[in-house]
Amino acid sequence: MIEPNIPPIPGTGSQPPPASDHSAQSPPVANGFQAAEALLREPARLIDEVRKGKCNWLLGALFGLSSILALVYGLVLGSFSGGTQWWASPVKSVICLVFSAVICFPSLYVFACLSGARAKIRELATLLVGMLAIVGLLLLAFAPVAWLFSQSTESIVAMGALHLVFGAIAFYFGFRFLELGLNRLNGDRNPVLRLWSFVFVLVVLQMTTSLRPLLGKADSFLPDTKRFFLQHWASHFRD
Amino acid sequence: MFLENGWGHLENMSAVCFEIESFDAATQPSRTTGAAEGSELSCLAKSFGSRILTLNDVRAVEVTGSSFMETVARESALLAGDWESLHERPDGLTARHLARTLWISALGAGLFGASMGWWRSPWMAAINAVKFPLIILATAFGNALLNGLLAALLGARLKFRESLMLVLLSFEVAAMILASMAPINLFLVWNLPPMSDSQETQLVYSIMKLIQVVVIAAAGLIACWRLLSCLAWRLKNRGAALKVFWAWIAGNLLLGTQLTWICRPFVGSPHLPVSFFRSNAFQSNFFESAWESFGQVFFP
Repeated sequence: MIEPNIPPIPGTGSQPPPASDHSAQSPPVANGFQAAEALLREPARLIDEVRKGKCNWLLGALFGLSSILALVYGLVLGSFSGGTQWWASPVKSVICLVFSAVICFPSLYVFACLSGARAKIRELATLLVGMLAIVGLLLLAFAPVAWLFSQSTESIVAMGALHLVFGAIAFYFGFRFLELGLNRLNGDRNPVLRLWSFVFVLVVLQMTTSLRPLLGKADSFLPDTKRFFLQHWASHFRD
Repeated sequence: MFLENGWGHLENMSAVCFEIESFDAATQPSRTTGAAEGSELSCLAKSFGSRILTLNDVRAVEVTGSSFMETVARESALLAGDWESLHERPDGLTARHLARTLWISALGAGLFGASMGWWRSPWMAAINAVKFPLIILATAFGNALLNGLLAALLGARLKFRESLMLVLLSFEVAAMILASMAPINLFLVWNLPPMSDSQETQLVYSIMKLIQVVVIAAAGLIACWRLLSCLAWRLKNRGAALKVFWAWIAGNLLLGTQLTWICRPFVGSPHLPVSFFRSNAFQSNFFESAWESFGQVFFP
């Protein structure tokens, strides 16, 4: 049997993480479907499993899941204009999410450490792709509504606004999962992390502009002029 | 690697980062992480060797001798403000620690500087990659004597070397934050219209400067916050820590702003050529210029 107190270890200042709320008898998450269910129903359990090192496969599985979900939502985006957008929008949706996550990951690591979390790089990466998977799952749930509206209107502004609302809701729950994860890794509810969330949203919004158009028709895969996302939105409102 | 056959490997290594996780059905999971080297290694091995040794008790003992992992563990402790962990390390304030602090600060500041200069030209990026670390290090070492003396005069029992290390640690925190923002900064630069003589370029130049100032200021404020908490922990007296903190900040601000003024340009005004220093680098100073601008605005 394990002894209740681990002896003090030289060079160690960290405290054990908070106690788990879950029964130790809970079966471990065994596959992608269970992981998706746990993300929605029992995120804390999933995070504990990651922390215990039981789910090293989760990083790849959640990354794959979030990519597929972004691809599916991209199809809905592409259905608004059709043509080349049938394939361009799904590809751009995946690039948007993955590239945003990649360039924001170093700052997430630093900000998580600043908030007191003692997380390994792999654990933090799993939390980040878990967040993207939650965003993807919620966007998938919104997909039928978005598709219905996209078939009923020709206004890019109206559709853009609708997708922004769906995205805002999805990211709200995504960030909530990330915050929960960092809390379980000893992090505080820290304004520094909120700052990172704000930066991440800005990067995603700028990415949608850099990869435009996600909704309208286009002559080329990428635009030939560079714009800030606010400038881009303003031009659409003026039109 | 995972140690499954005792601690022989551990005692043969020069430095390790370890993570030990233990849990079973009856107790809460607990995890202990840290880093050890030198004489601490045998102590670590004995403390576990005498009582655990079987993987029934300890599910995973992850040990790595990689200096990269060791650096990551140390940097995360520094960012988290886990001063106990840093202080107890045998290399806490040694030349090796100093060297690591210097190269991490230089690398972090250099990366951000390069991303900032990239919009102007690759040459400006290369120049910034050198200038940014130089400013940080010159500020720390230029004020080292002053900071040490001020600490002593204000009643803080800090050795000269300790006061230098504390200032360097705060610069290291700022440098790591800046380095982590470098990819986002590069993405920003990639999205900016290219440099031209147009009116738009002037606007973009102003936006670019503003964003850089905000990011650098945020990194500086967080680093100051860490410096204050480290001083309070070290001196065990918040009042004395506050006095020393403000004295150091005032000195570093004075020297740092002037060094930054001399080393301009960083983004580079669109109508001026790229250069390491301006031809008038040693004319005037930051405060004089700020005062002149103030006068032009309010007393034209």
